[in-house]
Amino acid sequence: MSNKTVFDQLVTSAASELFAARGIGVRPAAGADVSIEYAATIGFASDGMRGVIGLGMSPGTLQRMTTQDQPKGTTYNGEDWLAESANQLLGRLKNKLLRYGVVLSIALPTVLQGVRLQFLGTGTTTLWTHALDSDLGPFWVWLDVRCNEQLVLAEVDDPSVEGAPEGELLLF
Amino acid sequence: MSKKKVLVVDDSSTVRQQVAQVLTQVGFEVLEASDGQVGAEVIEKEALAVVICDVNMPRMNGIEMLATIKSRPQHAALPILMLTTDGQPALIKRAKEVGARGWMVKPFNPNQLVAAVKKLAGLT
Repeated sequence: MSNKTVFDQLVTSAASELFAARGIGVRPAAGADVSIEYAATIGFASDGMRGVIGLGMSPGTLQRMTTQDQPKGTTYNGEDWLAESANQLLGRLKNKLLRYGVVLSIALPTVLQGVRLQFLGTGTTTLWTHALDSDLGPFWVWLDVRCNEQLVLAEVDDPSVEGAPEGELLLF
Repeated sequence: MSKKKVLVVDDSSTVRQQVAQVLTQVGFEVLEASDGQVGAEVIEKEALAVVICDVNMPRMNGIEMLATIKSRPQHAALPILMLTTDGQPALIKRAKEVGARGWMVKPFNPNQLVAAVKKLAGLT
């Protein structure tokens, strides 16, 4: 299995789980009509790998998702919500990669707005894009990953490297 | 009787609002800080029952804040619960060694958070 295939599987499952936890169903989409005017990106790095994850959507989708997620009487800041969503998406990916012996260091999220992002190439060696549709509108998740040629992602047979799962509470 | 105070330290206003909304509903007073440095300053000034702290934050991250607070004898017993997207075993071990009382992986379950905070605050 190629590194791209591993990442594709991990990031799509991470995105589905993230939005499902918020009551938002997500499915793959063609993506041609998705307008990205808000995007949260976070850089990451590990031994043999560095890259960026992005989560982007239109203002309409962002507003609907933010509104759906915020409790009654609360008003979320859309940009902060998007940044935290990207953070939780990368957190899930990071925890899944522990199974492959990869420990990511992650930066803080950055939100781009006032732009219209367009992917000029998909399926290239480093830019891996995923168009997704949801009950509240379409969105994109993408990864721009540079791996060392020697790096081959493979699951390690060592339960001690497994991370604590989402929602896990440990009291010491 | 005055409400028990909980400080939530997170650079995301969304997460701070989520935590505050859940805990105020069950009778806690919730204070907020946007990074570890601000959090450490609030801890110095306020009588807190529990601190909930993210890990990945600007200026001072959660582990650094934890180490700073736990190095002060007056705060040695202050319960600190880490609330983060990170589930890395080495980081959890490090937090435990430095003095964290718990680790919770986002997204959190509201009932679980309330139960954990009540336990750490000595209410259950």
